[in-house]
Formats: sequence, C-alpha cells, structure tokens
Amino acid sequence: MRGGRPSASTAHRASQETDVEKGNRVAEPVRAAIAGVGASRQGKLPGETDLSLATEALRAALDDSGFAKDDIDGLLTMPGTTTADPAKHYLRLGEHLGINPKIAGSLSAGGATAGMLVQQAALAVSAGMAEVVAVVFGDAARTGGSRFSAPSGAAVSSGNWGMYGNAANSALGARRHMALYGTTSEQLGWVAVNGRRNASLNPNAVMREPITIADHQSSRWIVDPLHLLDCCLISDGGVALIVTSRERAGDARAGAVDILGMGQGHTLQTLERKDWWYLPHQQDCISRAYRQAGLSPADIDVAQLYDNFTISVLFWLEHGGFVKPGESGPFVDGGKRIALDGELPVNTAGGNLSESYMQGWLHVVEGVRQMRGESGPRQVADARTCLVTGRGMTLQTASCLILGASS
Amino acid sequence: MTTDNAATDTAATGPEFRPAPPATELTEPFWAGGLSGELRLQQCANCGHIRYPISTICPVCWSADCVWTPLSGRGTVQSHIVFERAYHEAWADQVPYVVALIELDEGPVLVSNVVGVQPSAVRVGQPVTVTFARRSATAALPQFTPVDGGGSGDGEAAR
Repeated sequence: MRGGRPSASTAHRASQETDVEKGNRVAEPVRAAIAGVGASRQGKLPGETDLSLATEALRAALDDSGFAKDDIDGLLTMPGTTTADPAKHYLRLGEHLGINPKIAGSLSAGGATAGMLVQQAALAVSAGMAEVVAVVFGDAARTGGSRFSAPSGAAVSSGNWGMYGNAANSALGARRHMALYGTTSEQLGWVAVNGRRNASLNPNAVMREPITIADHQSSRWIVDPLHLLDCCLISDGGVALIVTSRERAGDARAGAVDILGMGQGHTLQTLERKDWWYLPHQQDCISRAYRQAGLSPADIDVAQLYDNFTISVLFWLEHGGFVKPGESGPFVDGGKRIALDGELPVNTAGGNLSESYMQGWLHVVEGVRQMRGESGPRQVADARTCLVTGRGMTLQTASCLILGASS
Repeated sequence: MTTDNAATDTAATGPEFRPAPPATELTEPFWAGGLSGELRLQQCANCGHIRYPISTICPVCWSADCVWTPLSGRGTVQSHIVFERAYHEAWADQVPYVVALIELDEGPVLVSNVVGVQPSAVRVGQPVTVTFARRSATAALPQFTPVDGGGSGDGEAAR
C-alpha cells in the first residue's frame, strides 16, 4: 500500500482477542505456488451446467499452466448452487474428466471456498501428498434456477420475521456501520463505481458500462440500506486454478505466483456474538496471513476484496488494517484511493459486483494475473504483492491469501 | 445458510398465511410464552448463561439442563433494515417493514421486527419493548416497539 498506513498490529482493535494478543504460534510458510489460472465464458449461458463450465475453466487453466492432464494428481472442487448431491461433486467431476488423483474432495463454504481450497492444495503440495492440484468451480447459477432470496436464519428461522435474502445480513452490518461511524450510502456507491470502472477495462467482465454515484443512488432498494448497485451479479461460469509445489512451479508456462500467506477465521456463532455484525473473524483471518508472510498492510500493493455487497469492501479495508475501524467510508469516498493508481487499488477486474459472480474465485485469478503483470490496461504498476479475501455462509467464514510475484 | 422450508412452502398472501412457527418440542415454550405476554428464553441451569438461538445444550458449558426464564422484554435496536418489497408473497401487504437485531437488556440478541412506528423513525440504539403478534393457537411472535413511541435513538451511544 502506498503512503505508509498504520500496521496491522496497531491499526485495529475491533476484536477483543486477536492471535497476536493471545500469543499463538505463527503458521509456517508453505512451499506452494499457483501455476495456472483459467475461466470459462461468464454471464448468461443457457444450456451449460456446473460440470461443463468447470471443464471449460479447467481446460483453460491447464493450458495456462503448461501442465498436462496426466500431471494432475489432486482434485479439489466447490459444488455450484445448482449442483445436485454437492458432497459427491468431486466424484462426478473426476469421472467426467477421467482423473484418479492422490487427493480429492469437495467443500462448500460460499465465498470463502476458493481461498480455503487453495490453502488445502498448498498444504498438500507443501507436504508432498500431491504435486499438481486442480482446484475447480463451476455453476449455472444465472440460468440454472438458483434461489438467493430464501429466508435466512438458524434454529428458529428468521423467515418468521420476514427476513429474506442474502443481502439482509450485510444490510444489517451496513446500517450499524453507518450509525456508529457516519458511513454513507454514497460512500458505498464509490465501491460500486470503482468496480465498474475497472470492469470497463476487462474484456471478460459481464458488466462494463460505467456507472455514476447518481446511478447507484437511484437504483432500487434490495433491502434498505442496500441498493441494487450495492449487490453482486448472479452469473453462470466456471473457474479453475492449478496449485503446485515451488519445485514444480518452474515448469509453469506463464510463471508461477507464490503463496506467501494464508489465513482463515470463523465466527460460527452469530447471534450469540454481539460483534458478529462486524465480522471480527475477518481481522483474525488476515492477521494470520500477514504473520505467516511476514508482511504488514503497508506491504500490500493491490487487493482483491470479496464484494458480495459494497459494504463488504469497507469491512475488509478495516480488517486488513489499511484503515482504522470506522474510517473505511472516508477512505473509499471519491474513489481515488482505491483506483488503479490509488494508494490501494481494489478489485482491479471488477469483482463480484461487475466482473462476474464467481463467489470470489475470479478474485484469485485476477490476483495471479496482477502478480504476473498481465492485466493490461488495468495492470497496477510495479505490483509485487496482492491480498485476496473471501467470505461465505451467513457471513461466518473468511479466508485469505497473500500472493507474491516470483522474484 | 440455514433455511426453514416452513417459511417457503406457503403460497397465499396476508397475515393468516404467513408461516406459523413450527411448534417443535424444543421451541414450544418460546412461541407459547407470547400467548401470555411473556418473552422467555433458555437459561443454563449450570452456568446461568441465557442463550439464543434456541438449542439443546448451552454453547458456553455444554450442559443440557436449562430453565425457560421470563425476561424483561426490554432492549435496544442493534441494527435495522427496511424491506421495501416482499420476497415472499405472504409479506406483500406489510411493506415497508422493519427487520431488526434487538439486543435484550439481559444480553441475548434476537432477529425480530420493529412495529408501531414509521420505518424511517427506527434508529440504532433506540430503546424498545416487546409486543406479541398471535400467529396460531400455540404461537405468538415476539416483535418490538419503541419505548418512547419512536424517533429518539442515539446511534453513537449504542456500541
């Protein structure tokens, strides 16, 4: 990050018990890299399925990596929202692809899954359990009949009180942030404007027409205080990543990107935690990755921050230590600091809001491309480190990666 | 995300078709309490923790022994959102309506509604008190209404 912001150790005290304060041991570095990335076509793709889109993406990722099908000895997958019998997703995909790997499995943790599966792959290759792990997702959410407006809640369903839709929990967080810190809807709008501005430079983005704050403000309510343009897209598509050991990374056709830091955090209790709305596990998640990488917020050149809703980016900026609690609204205001030439360029390909809603998987792809210097008109000059975050379920589960350009 | 199919199987419009809370053995005291105007939650008989969501064990000490304890019904609005459109037809006659996180004076946080006030007058930090909407012969839904009739909440004092 340009301009010497506060470090993670001093900037943030939202969570009462961080790892640092508890003195927990630091995770050891992994010897792993991302050797290839690929995506299918994105958007509205009638007739495609979770399997066909995952296959299209894996073909692209394998080609990007320079590895061959027979090199793949690990298969980790995330089922789509349209996948039948999701626990068996990796079985179906492996049979479809003709792959009999050393390690395999499927995981569903919403927008945190991509990061979590890359971590699992990195641990496996670092330990020698596998050498070339295909990490794959595909979903026909746009045309396959997914319902994202189901009631949210737990043992006693929040549907009893008319609480519906994935936006509701994030909207509750947004309202409280606004009440405590004076954050405004227009400031949220700058996150959307920034994402669309970057997407306009991305030929693969689904939504490329620039938008204004006025467009944001006049878009209809999904649930007040979130407008339509505060919300991510719903998309068909697939994404695949090839994770390999540092030893094999030299074989990567386009150059491998090192995984410097990895973190997770979970607030699996929701209402029992009074600060659940603030998602304190996200701070722990990122601080764990900083410590593993030996880096601080000031060392991060570009960030791909999970943006199911605009408010999420504000939380990440605070939890990543780029600003103090409550200061994310002013930080994004006007859009300059998070722009491609700003202090911390954010969501350089457009994110879930404008590129495509691949539940954070494309955030990893763009992080890799930025580290390889391949992002063309949206390339951040001299970017050497990238923070990639993801978060899923009822806001409970967070994961992150710190990627580094190979030296 | 956990979903409750009881809330999605309904197909008609209006309050009588809003999903009646499913009366399980576990949750029956919560729903029945409202019929006599009482907000009750489970209090752990071992460590005293008052828990919500409703559960078979205490999330603090894992004891299965608990007592359904009457609460004051007083609390504050931790946060609130406004549904300007219905995502389920049974709520179509309610919009705009407020869904809120209510922090009870005794500690637990509930998802509920703030009623009896214009949605624009609901504030973070606003003191509220419980009121009940009868939904069936065995269940009344706890909702909340501003103590002062609305409008004087102080967000800055709320955290």
